[in-house]
Amino acid sequence: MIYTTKAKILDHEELAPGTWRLRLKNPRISCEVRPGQFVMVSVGSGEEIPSPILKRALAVYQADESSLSLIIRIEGDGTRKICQLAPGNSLNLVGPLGNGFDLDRAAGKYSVITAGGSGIASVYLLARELRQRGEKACLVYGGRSASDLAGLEDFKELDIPVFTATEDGSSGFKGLVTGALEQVLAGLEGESPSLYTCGPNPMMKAVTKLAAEKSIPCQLSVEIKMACGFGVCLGCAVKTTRGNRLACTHGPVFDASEFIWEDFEGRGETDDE
Amino acid sequence: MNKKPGLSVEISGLKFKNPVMTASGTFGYGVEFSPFYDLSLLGGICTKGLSLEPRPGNNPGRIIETPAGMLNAIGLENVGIDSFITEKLPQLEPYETHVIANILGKSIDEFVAMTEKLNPCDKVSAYEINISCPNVASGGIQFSQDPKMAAKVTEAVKTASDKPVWIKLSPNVTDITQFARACEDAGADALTLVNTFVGMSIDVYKRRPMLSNVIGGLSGPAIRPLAVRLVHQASQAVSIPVVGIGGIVSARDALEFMIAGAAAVQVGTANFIDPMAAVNIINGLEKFCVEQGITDIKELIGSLELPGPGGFLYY
Repeated sequence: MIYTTKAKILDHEELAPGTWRLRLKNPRISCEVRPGQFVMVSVGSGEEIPSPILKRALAVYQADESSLSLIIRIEGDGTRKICQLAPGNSLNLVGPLGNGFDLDRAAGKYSVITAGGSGIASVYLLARELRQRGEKACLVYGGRSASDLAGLEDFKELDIPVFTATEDGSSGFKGLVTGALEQVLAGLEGESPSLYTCGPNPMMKAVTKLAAEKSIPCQLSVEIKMACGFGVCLGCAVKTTRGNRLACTHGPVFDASEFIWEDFEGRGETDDE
Repeated sequence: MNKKPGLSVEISGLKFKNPVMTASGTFGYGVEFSPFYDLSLLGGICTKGLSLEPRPGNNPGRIIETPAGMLNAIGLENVGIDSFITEKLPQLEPYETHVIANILGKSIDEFVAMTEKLNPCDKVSAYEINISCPNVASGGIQFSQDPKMAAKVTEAVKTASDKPVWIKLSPNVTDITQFARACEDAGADALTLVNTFVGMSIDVYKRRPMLSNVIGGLSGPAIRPLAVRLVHQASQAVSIPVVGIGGIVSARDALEFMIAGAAAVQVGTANFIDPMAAVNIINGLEKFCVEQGITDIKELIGSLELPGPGGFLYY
């Protein structure tokens, strides 16, 4: 079911410079959302014309019986207004939307979740679900510096191995997250790994390449501008080996081996006007 | 207790339960909105633009938000007329609302071929001939730029059709009245205006167009005053009904179009902003009529009071 609804902001917190966590009350969406799904979010009410007019597509980070949380990096007016609206006010939500991660393919494998920056928002529920299913999983998480690694504690609480990578070396591996990923994969002797990734396009492209070289199955979650989020505007098309696919309804999770990066990078990314 | 106002309108011999339709390209094939509300609440549904063959659409980089609007260059992605008839249209069967098939062709022959394929479909109430999509090189845009060509395609479809024919006009012309009259003279039963305004947006850091197609169609509240003026002007020029569209997000906006001369309206980009938009607008129209003591919404159509002659710059 897709709901179009209001959700009260219970609290918000700036986790890292420019990156916020919002907790919203909405049992209908929070009970139904699956790992890797997203919601469309806007500020505003009634007859007034919202500014910006379009909702923003945002991954659901955490969810329980009554509330859901989002991790959002401020990239423009839309995300700024959403993050900075005072608790007690309500946001407009449509969701849950998208296909989410295919967890059945994780059965019996060692799931290596690779996230970069605010891409972490898409993978918490994935990690939690894998733990609940008793599957082996770890997180490889990269950012510019230690202060960028929002949500790290939440993953540690899931009791999965967490490996960090920072460009300035302030936490974990010094360098790009793919460097840390290579080390993690090298240490998984005897395991059959499966990759999940969400983050900046260059990172996901590098993870895709690594997965292809090592013949490891890989699912990636893309970020792209959407107007509607439920398959009617056709604005979020991406190219795959199976033809054009919509990030909102066929995705946002795609099999990395089917995803065509050509024509995607640098276009339709989610930075606001 | 106020009596419920009459919201029904008539266009091209068809009775619509209310004057609110959903616009082509913003409502999929209809069923996509069935999770949100009962589609029978709508006056009508205009389908995604249909072509003779399926089309994959443009490369990624298809939309960009702009102040109070958005640019799109989807490139007419659609399942093609045959799949529409066999797979999409039957899903609309349960709903008591008019289905307006929006069709687009690269040639007059293509328009006629699609009309003939749709003629036996009882669920389709009328055709909306899209001669105005800006986003494909050979998408039939030539028909929107020359009144003679617009008349030719109108006449050909009208001859082939056993349903009412509406022509959806482009706003990207110097004089809309020439096109409105040409289509009326060629037998059009109604006009829909306007389609999107051609626009462009640039990434100043990369010095590249935001859209892979370079240009796209501007829609949303940003175009509303432009569209109201064109609807007013066209409705003054012809006696067939005009269906108004352009940036409508509220009942107030819809009323503006109707008072300007539109017999009905279409809601487009607002469907993306709020999936409930069309239903909220219908409810808002009813509320307005009740509050204003209007017993029949038809009273409002073309009811604009203009200042007296002389002294003001018109058109």
